[in-house]
Amino acid sequence: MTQYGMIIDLRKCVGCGACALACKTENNTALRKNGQTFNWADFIHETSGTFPNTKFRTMPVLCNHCSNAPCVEACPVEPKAMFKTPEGMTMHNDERCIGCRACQQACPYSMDEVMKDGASGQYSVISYNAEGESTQPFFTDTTEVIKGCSASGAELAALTKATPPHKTNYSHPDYENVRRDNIVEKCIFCDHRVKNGLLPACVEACPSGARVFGDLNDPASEPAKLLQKHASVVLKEEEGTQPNVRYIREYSAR
Amino acid sequence: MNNSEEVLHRGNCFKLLAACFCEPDNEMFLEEQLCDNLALLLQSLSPAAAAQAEAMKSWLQITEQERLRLDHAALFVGPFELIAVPYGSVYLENNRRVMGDSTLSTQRFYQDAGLLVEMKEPPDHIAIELEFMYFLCAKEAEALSQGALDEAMRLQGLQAEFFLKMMAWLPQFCELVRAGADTEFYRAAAGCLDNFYASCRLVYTGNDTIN
Amino acid sequence: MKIKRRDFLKLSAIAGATAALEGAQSHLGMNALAASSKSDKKIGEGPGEWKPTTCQGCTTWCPAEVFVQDGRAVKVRGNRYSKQNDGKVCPRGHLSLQQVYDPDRLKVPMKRTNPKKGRGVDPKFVPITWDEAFNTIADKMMELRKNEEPEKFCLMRGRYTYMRDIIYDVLPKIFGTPNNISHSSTCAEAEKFGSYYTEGLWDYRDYDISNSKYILIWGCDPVASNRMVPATIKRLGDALDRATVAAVDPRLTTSAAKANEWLPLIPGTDGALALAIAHVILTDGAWNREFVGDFIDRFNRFKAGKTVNEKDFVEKETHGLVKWWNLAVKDMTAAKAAAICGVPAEQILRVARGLAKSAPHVAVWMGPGAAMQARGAYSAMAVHALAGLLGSVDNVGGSLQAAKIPVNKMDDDILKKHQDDLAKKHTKLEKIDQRGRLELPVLASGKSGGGVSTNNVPTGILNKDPYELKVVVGYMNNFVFSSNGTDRWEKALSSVPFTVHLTTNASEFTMFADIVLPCAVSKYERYGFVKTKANRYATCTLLQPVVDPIWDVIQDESEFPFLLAEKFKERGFPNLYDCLVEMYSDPETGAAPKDSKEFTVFALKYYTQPLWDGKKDTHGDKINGWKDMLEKGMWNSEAYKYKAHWGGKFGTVTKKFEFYSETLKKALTGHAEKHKVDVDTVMAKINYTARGELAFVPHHEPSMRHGSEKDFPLLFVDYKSRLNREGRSQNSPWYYEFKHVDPGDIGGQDTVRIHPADAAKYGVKDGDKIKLTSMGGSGECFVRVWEGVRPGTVSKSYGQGHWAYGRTATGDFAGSATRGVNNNTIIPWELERLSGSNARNGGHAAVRIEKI
Repeated sequence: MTQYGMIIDLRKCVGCGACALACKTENNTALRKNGQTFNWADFIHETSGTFPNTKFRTMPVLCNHCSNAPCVEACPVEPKAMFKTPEGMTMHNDERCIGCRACQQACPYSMDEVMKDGASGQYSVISYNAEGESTQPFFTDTTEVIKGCSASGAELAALTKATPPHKTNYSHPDYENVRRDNIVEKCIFCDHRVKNGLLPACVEACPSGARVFGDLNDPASEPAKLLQKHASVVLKEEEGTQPNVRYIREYSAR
Repeated sequence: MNNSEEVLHRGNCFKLLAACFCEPDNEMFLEEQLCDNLALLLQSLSPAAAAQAEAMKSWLQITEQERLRLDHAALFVGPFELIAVPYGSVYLENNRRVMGDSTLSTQRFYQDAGLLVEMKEPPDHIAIELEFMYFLCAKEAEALSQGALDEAMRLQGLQAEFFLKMMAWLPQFCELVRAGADTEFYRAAAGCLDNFYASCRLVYTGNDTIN
Repeated sequence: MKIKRRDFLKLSAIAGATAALEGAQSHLGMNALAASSKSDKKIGEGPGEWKPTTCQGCTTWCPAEVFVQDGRAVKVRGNRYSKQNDGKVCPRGHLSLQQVYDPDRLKVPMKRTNPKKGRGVDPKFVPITWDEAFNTIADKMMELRKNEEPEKFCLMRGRYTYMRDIIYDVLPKIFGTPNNISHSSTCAEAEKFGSYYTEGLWDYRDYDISNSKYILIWGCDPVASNRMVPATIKRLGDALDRATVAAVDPRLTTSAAKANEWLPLIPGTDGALALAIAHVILTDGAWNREFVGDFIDRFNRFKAGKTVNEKDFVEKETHGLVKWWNLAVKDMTAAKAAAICGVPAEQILRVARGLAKSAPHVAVWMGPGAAMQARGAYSAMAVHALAGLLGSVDNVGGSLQAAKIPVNKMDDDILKKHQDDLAKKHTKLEKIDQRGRLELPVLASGKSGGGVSTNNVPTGILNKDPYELKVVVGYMNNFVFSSNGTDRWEKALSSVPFTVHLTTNASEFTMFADIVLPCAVSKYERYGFVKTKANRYATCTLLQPVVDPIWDVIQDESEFPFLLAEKFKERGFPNLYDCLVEMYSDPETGAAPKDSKEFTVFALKYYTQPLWDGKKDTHGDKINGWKDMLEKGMWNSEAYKYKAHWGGKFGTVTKKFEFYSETLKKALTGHAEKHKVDVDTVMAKINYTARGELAFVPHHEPSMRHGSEKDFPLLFVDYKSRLNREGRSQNSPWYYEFKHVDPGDIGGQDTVRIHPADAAKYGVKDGDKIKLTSMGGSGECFVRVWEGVRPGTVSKSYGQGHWAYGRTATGDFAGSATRGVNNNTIIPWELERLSGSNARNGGHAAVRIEKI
């Protein structure tokens, strides 16, 4: 049985941000609004020790695609809008989603409202597009800062015929490349890429090679080999969610 | 018999068995020689299944259309509690739910293969799953006949994955049909499917040579 | 479940090839399942194409590719052919999509209607036609020529490509002004000074970290900024498995966080620390003998405080080791340095011994933090001298120079042919930045006044010395934001009668302009080429218009001079037009360019021709013609050959690696003689404390400080965010969303970091809004109390604090309200005068913080 998952090698990771930005450009996620980050990939940072023996580390975070996923359990729709695929991804079907946010509440890695950011350890795997609001207001705004001389978001969207103008156009039966209002959204391991033999955008973009994606159940796969070689940890193991995103090695050499 | 014909052979068995679990049409089944063809195809794959197919033909000739229809409804359709629920999720999931997570998984297999279910039935209906296996076999046979070996390998892998992952409930289902059927036709059909399933299992788990 | 069609009961045969090709399932006689007909539900990406270009978000200048769908740029990666970034870009690469699709981009030429100029004064811009814009500019400029004062025109250049020759050299020189002012000294000229006056390299170094056994990162965070970002990101993790990594920086950088050693020195004490490391290496007898040589009798006479006789030591690839020891090193023990820099002596010993043990495969990575200080020239030399001592210069795992990139140069003969007498005479006048004056040697490449002192331009403008500027044209620059002492720039620009700005956004510089021309966004909408190096490979990479610009914009470096030349020609001054057409006709056909767009392509072809015309061995990638060049988008050299400059081939006066810099002695003596003074007088005039021979060796200078310890108790540490696309990404919302990827930083706000002890001392808490004040200026930002800051210092990244640029960058664009505070307002105006650099590090900026 395939179980897709990701290994993040913290020794290689330099916390640069490329993965999270590549995800935003790939999946056309919206800008932070109403306490929703729309960051399918994000980071948390931890500082410990005292000067000059200060330690600091960054941990990239994303949907853990848990084997025992509370978000799936909580989804009240029949058939479920949040569900597990045969390959072990936690998938979201936009069409069936009713925007009840039960998944967001159930997920130990999500928050209803993210007031701060990774500097305070805050992030949310699942984000919610508020009902009745534009999901890309930056590109529906008609304000010109210098009247008649500078552009506006709406004008850009109109001229490029896309919202956002840098929208990556892709198709998938379960999710839209730009989401509508009143549904939740989260990392779907770029299934539209994986299905075509490509890696998720964040993995492809990582300049350090820290993110390794593949079938954790296939002993010959890269991530399975890394798991054999190194001890690994998951986030909030005590929740019993059995995450399929695992972290190996230490960020710092000190 | 070359490889592609052998695969197609197996595919046709899936197809005809799928038909056996759809609404029965005594006259059409006989005219199209459904059971004869099935028996013939099964001879090399599973003599036990072939024998059951022969039996099906005999019973079909002597069973009235109305009785077949009633038995089919009681077994698989309702309105009363079903004797043998024909949906995979009921067997595969703990809470015996129709349209469960496994149903969605089944649907994804179809989606990924570029197919959708045209009928108003859950996608993990026994006849649809069998039809899907037929589809995969037929496509593999096509690929083999064109020398597209990578594509054939891919389709063979898909068959194994779908068969082993999504169709593991068949023996249970067959047992319920055998135990609860009112007609010998359906008892024989269940026996035929069960035997065929067992022979395919050997193929897909690699305990028998594929092709 | 019904059987819909009788076919379902029939046996299937193998389908014919045609049916299979059609992909239809009808021939299979399906029942419940059917081919999903909605083609838009096919899983995967819509059609698109990866197109090559170059990212100029930082000075790595990454060969990049942009994925284009329906004429839109949608995502970014590294160029697949690059041997530097291996197809990856850093976060800046992705972030740039919000620059090309910035809602605040200028879409038409505009002119100022409010004659009053100043920060916060609304220019009352109105749209005008391109024709009106160019007519106005041409009239203003031709008036200068008519009055025989073409030197009063000044061209200011910020970020650039090597197509700069056209706007930066040809235009001013044909027109007749000496004033082409680059931003180079804002970046790192003091850093180049360090490698030039030791090994004769006026450039950034490449670092061979794939093969390093010890990496000493000094005054920069190479996985975040500096000049080989993706290459370093890829290698740092592996380096930590193989080598020791140490980071010298007053703030906890990412490199420092990951490193085996963090040496959080007091700002401005880099020279002392470097000398102490040298002291340990020498007294331990652990220098690299293959490079440096040895005592004749192999007996080590380097003993703390003891003078050594020069005759006892025979050098190999180096010059003046014993002189250096006697003049500057012998007394700088680890203990003494520890007292100066605040780094424990035992750590200095440990790092020095670790370096020596790994020599010569050590990378001593000198960054701007060690150099861009008011007295940073000698600390830059001192840090780089360690590479000499360890024999890692031009060596495996060490610091490298670069392979050659065979591109064409501007044709000086053609240029001279079209210069008239007025131009010939006036281009020789003194420049507005006063370079080469007694108090401003700017000794780039060994010559008095050899480089630029960007930040001294306001001095020249405000004092009208050597003369006043009447017409200024700036492109891709924002000096009034990017140079410290912003108040001086604001005053200076307010006083210029006519300014033109070539820009994508209405930046701070724009707000002083009379005519503003909307320009193409580098990386996405223009042609150009740049030269870069990393990982032993030199690279030439093209910028290409991967998408059609949404607005009617021009390419600054090529189209502006061409369109202006046409206007000059109409006004009876055809020289510029004639020169451009002669110099940049199509190198393949000889055809003259029809318009500014074709001119641009011809110019690019002209410069890059040797890479693709197949006539000579390029010692690198084989490129088959112009089309192939455009498709690949780049060229890699062969790997740089180690020790290429060993054996007396360094570019110094002695041809050796100089610990006692005969090269600097010659340059300084030459400068002193030019002004008829002695070197000591020069040193006094340029704020250095060294006298006598000390001026010619790497040494420690006490740091300078603006403001008393009582009024301004904290030292300000400036750094570059890993999301800074120089000063141009702060109008991008993603910048704020992910600002927390800078260690200790917080997204969505401008943050100054302070140590908990200092926070308690000055009564501020985490999250407080505070006023930050220096002798230079003040502004508001938020406090983060963090253990990753050296007590007594505060750190803050450059970038925020815009009062123009766009809706996201500012607090309020219409009201010129800032969002945060510009570091360059806080850092008081100061220069490193030997190189002409902006001084921004080293602790001359002292500040206080007050809770609001």
